[in-house]
Amino acid sequence: MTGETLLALVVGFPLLGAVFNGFFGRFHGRRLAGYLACGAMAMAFLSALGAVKDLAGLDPQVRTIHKHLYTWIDASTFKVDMALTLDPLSAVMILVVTGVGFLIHVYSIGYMAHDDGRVRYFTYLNLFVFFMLMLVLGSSLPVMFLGWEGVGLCSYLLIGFWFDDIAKAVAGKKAFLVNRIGDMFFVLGMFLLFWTYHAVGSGSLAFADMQANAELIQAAKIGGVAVTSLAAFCLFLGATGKSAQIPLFVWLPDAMAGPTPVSALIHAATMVTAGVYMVARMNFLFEMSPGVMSLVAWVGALTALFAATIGMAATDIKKVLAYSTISQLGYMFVAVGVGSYVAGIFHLVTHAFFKGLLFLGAGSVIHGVTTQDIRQMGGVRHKMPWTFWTFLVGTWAIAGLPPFAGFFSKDEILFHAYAGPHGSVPLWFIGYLTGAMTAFYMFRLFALVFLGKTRMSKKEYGKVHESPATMTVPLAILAGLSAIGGLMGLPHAFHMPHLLGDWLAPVFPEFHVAAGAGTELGLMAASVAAAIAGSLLALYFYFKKGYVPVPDNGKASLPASVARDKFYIDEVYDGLVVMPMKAIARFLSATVDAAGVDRVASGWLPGLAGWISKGVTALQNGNTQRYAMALFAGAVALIVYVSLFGVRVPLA
Amino acid sequence: MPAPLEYLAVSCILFGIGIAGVLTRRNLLVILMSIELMLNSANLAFLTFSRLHGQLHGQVIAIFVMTVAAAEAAIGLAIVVALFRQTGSVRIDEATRLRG
Amino acid sequence: MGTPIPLPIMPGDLTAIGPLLAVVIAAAGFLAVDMAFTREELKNRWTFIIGIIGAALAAVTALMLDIGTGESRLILGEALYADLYTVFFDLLFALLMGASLVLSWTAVERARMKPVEFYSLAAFSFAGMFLTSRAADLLSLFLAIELLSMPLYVLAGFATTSKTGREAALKYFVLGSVASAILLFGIALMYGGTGSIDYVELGAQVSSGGRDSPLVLAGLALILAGLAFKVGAVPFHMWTPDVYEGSPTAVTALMATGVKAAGLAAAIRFLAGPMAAALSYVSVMLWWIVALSMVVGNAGAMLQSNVKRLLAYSSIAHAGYILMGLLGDSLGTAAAVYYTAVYVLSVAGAFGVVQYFGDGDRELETVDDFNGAAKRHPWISLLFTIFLLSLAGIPPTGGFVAKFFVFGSAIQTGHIGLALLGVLTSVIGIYYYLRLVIAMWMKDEGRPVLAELSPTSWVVLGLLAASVLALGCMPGWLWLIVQSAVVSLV
Repeated sequence: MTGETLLALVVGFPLLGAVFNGFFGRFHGRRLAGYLACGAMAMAFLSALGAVKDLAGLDPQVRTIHKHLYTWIDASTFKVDMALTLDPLSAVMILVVTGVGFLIHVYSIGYMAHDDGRVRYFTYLNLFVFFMLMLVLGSSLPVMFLGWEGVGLCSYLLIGFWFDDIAKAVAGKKAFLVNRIGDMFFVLGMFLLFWTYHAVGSGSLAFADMQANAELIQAAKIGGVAVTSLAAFCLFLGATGKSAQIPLFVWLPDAMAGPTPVSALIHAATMVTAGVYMVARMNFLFEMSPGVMSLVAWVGALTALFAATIGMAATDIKKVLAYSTISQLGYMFVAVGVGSYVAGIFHLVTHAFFKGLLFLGAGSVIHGVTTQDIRQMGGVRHKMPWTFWTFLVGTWAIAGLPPFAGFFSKDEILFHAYAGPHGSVPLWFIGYLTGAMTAFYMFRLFALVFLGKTRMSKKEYGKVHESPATMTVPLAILAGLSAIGGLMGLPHAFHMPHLLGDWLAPVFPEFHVAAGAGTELGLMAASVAAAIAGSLLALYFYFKKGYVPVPDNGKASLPASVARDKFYIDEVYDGLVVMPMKAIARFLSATVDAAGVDRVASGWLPGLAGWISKGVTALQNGNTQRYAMALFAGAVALIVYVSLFGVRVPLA
Repeated sequence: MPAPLEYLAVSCILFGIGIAGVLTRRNLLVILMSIELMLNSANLAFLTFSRLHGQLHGQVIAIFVMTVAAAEAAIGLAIVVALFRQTGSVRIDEATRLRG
Repeated sequence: MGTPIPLPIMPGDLTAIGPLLAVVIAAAGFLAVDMAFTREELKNRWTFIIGIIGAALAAVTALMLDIGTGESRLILGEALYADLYTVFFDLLFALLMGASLVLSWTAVERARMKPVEFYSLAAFSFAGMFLTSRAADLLSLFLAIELLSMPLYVLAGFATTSKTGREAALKYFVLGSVASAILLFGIALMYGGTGSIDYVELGAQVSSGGRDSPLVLAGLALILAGLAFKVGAVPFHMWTPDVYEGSPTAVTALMATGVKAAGLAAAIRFLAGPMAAALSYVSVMLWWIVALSMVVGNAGAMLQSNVKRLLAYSSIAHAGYILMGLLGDSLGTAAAVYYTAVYVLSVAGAFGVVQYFGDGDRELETVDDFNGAAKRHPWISLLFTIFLLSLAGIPPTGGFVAKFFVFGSAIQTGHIGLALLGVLTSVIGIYYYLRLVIAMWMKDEGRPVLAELSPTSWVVLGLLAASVLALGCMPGWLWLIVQSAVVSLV
């Protein structure tokens, strides 16, 4: 088969799986639905491998495979092809999406074994993968937007999967609404680009055409602001929605209401990284607007720090991971913001491995323990050896300890944030600090869940069991990937080839780092030291000393001995970390999230709309003569206008 | 013989009276009459302009409009009767069940 | 003007008004059926047969029109047009008539209306619709609008079982007549200012600029007001929520699809046809009408619990989106026509589905009534979802592409603020359409009852859904047709 055919199959299989399960699932039953979905994913993964192999056979300069499905929109001056483009960047993405996606599908068979809604679940999951692949492979901005909307919809459906629970349905709605705000800016950016390109005679929004004609629109301005900056800004705001960055991050922690494999696939490994991918994809646009670039980097850095601080105090196993996802996404934005797209994509890939692993591990724990509160766990190690060891690998990787994957990708980002042309010391320092905090909160989580004596009752503890093989095997594979994933991007200081960097080289502008190997090694040593310090500190507090965070209401319902030996760590937390962060969070929720998106009818945009809505319906009081009055008033306004200003306005 | 402008003025005044009637009177029958008044004021305007331009077009239009007005009056009365049978009222400000 | 023509019927003129004749004959046929048979089943059967034949004949005769080189042809003493634009709308109205016959039948009987009476009145209204896209002078325009409206005044209050139908009929009648009077007075002023009622003649006079007389300007303003009333644009919109809610659902479906499309067909012809120069006088006011319609329509729909009322408010918003296209260049006009087609198909489908929910005398009214629909009736819920997503403008449905065209043309011609407002308000739109989707798919407790659907209904609904999806996935072919149709306007 040719590469083009394989490319069509990559997106075709998940769609087929979704359609088949969606329409005929009720007939072939729940068990088969899972196997069908996994089969579709396996086929998609194999097709992706085949297509990428074909791609690798091409000369690096012309390394793209283009599959034109049909002409979507043909408006003479404006043409959008429904087409897929495989280039080195999208190749990396489809391998991650189908590969990690396949593992998570397999895992889901075990995880959802007792759920009645399995057919629906696997339908949505396959549909999600289809849209994600469209997003990644789409050869133009509108096609990407199609995928962008589609993954949002699937994410919404899956967060609210257990919709019987009102809180979960609300979480889904919140995710959807916050994402819509981001999407709105995405659309605006798209329209701006279309308009500007159209004005210079190129009505195509295909990435290749936009890149080729990028210089033509460089001079375009609206109200003194460069259109390129404006469009990049809008697109970036779109990315903050999808990738949960300040100010639109608020939906992701709530999104943990969905089934855990969903959190792993959508809210860790794939969908939330779409924003990073989009910025990397549109790099030619962002390169033209340095201001927006540094905004991207700073928003990323601040989000990383902010989320890590909250992560240090969270007590729900999935919430800790959610905040760490937000924080890691922040790193990726730092990378693309300083122009080091390779490092961003590198971290995206390794993050998909180890965060997918951690979420699946968390799911395995929840599956066995039936609570999500890490204060109620402890000692799970002995009951769930597979989960324990794989989770340790994931924790090791995300903490940035060598030689696992997270170490290489994170250090590359930190190095480039420090020494890259757009980098700066403050940017690096925030990343550095975040790294230490990451190591701390991840080992805190690890210790509280797996180590020490259990805090469960004897009866509960007795019921804890290791998960079935469908769950542990994907864990093991992901652990393997998390362990060796870093090899694809060895630091230059090691004088080894940076495989990923070489592979992606044709797609991105060249990136030079002035500093030498000495700086790189020095920074590396510093961050390893910080990570080790953070990890050891966490292990000391939560394993050696056996501290347990106090319950939310502050009343110690835990054994007194535990509470006594606490060295005021919670108080320190409270004063230095939790209180300020809560204040910031309160401020953000007052301005962005608010009762607004929670209670839909308030908040700034919905609030204004609700206010107008009440006005409109109040005017509509049922009295015909009032309606007639509006009619006459409108007619009179028209007459007055044309008589006073009845000069012809030249039509554009 | 009055100048065309005066016919036009009468036409406008009639239209205004029609509007005022629709907006202020509560009795549906009076409102129906007001609507007729508005249509006929337009007719007067058509006839005036027809004379002014020395054409027959306006007069032909007026005949069409009279036909339409007759049909409209029939429908209007039928609706008022139907409403009266249901609610026992021909006051427009009492038909406010549909709102919001 | 010239010398009077003795008999202004040229060879081929009758073919050109073929669709019009087809529905008028069908309407007469309904009346004959009503008199010829006494048994209800026979009446019903023949009503259906004649109606379908009439709609099919309308479509066929519309396709038989010789478009020639694509230029507009004036027929019947220059009173009507015959061109690709009329063919386009003829096909749309013929399709609507067929859909109404198939999909509204259950709702008509549920409201205790006699199908033969309902469809004869509806057929006369359709005749008016077929005229609106053809009108080549202001008298034809006025008569077309009156012919389309009057049967609907009756139909709105036709259901004897309805508690609100008569009030709806009254409001529709009073406000509609007032709007007609305003339109008529505008026509009178226009005639007075120019001595003509022909679009071509008027267009020449307006664009020459020599006749910027107060009469012409005031006339233009009043005609615009009259058209905006039929289209349901703010501030001439206030009849829509009450009348849509109060009328029998089968009638509301006609109003939301046929009347809206006919009003738009007339308004687009008037503002983008030979009279395009006039648009430049009112473009600022049109800007405000568009902006207010989008805001008021979407905001009004946001908190509604009654489904018909929700769709009524949303139809105001859609009128705004469609009129936005007129502010652009010829591509914008094409976008408006495209949007009209997509909107009509989606709303026809949505009302088609709504009409089947409910049993006995009861219809489903509120959004909550649809709770749990998907669990019990997954297929029809899926179809409904497709129509709603299209109305919300979510890809890959036609609604998204239509919005894309309209906003794109607005941005292209410099109306960035308006496009921004359009995108913002469409976010509200997504919210309230999704409320229905959520009620159907994510709530369990309700037990909505679905009336039995005949195989024909399934086919029609399926075709509507397929076309909505096709217009989203492959908009190219229709877009090309629409563009040529718009070219023939000028």
